[in-house]
Amino acid sequence: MRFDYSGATPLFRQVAEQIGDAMAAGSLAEGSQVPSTTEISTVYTINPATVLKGMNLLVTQGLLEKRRGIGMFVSAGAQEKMRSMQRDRLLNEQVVDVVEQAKRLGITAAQLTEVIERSYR
Amino acid sequence: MLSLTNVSKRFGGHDAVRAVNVQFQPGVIYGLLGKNGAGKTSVLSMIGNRTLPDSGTILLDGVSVVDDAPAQRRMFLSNEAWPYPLYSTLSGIFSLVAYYYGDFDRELAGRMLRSFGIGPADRFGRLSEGKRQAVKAILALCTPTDYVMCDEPTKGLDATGRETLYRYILEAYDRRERTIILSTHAIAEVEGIIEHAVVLDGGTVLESFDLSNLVNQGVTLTAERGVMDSYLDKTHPRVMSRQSLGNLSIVAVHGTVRGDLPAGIVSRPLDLQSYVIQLTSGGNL
Repeated sequence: MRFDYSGATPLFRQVAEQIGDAMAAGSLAEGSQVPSTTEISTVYTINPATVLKGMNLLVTQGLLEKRRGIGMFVSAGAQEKMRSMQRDRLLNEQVVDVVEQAKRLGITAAQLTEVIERSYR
Repeated sequence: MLSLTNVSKRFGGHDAVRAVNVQFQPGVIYGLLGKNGAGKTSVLSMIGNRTLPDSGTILLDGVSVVDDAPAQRRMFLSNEAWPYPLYSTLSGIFSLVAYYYGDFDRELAGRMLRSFGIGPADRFGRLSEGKRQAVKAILALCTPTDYVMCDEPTKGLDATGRETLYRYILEAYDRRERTIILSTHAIAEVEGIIEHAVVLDGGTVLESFDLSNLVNQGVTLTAERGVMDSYLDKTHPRVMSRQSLGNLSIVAVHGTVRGDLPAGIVSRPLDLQSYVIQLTSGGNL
């Protein structure tokens, strides 16, 4: 995990995003235990309350579940849910941004589509 | 909870602390931030009963801490001073501190000593500055007090030492959850480990905020001068500083930008150090 202190994204959100990425990639398998808040906090020298906030965000999104006295586990279906969320974000935010930028630069839809199709080959 | 209400202190002809109001909650790691002369050391000295406030109250769970031994025993202040014998062994000092505060985490202390290359039979008076700083931190983190205050804990430590210290602060916090107040200039370094920031300037509290809200504390806006001027005229945000670069105007604004920005204005969030510098520079940056 790597953290960006430029203030662009709050740290707790970055913690959630990084754990989420690991889930989507399958490196944190469903049903497996996530490193504890203490472990993440000590390794990356981040305040544990911040780490916990990030993890709680994933709990509210149904991606992690707390098992009392044991720890945090990746929920069943989390990988697909995470990938679905990332797909949504790519299509509805990032691609939209790219199109806005393209329009500003005077790039036509046809030109953009051509590049997209070429890249898929 | 440790609460300061209207606390003031004058030294010679100078108002070092002016009607400071701040609360420190149990179990939270705070950053006490500000320039040299902002009043950080004076505030901590008054909490730690090294000097008395001229006015105002400092209450620990409702009881005044001034000259109150039981309250003081629940707090540990580590600062410039070394109020212990210079030539006793560190092991002896640990016993002394354990006796006064009721306990001492010798296991953690032992590991911290080894990390900094210090031995329990060493004597404070013979240690280098960096190692002395480490010893002060060991005392602060290994006593069982509910409130730990460190005044410039990383002064004199090299980069490795600073990183090691931050890890131990978090480890000590995990072993025993309590309030830790770090008064420091190393704002960028502590941004990750603190939960809440209290910014002092000219003896008063300018801001007190949770780090997860940093993104709402301030932004820098960049735009061509004409565009910037008309935006500022329309919205009247609180401007912290303004710079010109050719015909570009760069403005640091306090708070969030409400609504969408007009075309031609780029906004970037401020990291903690930049925000605190902007806040405490009085527009002189």
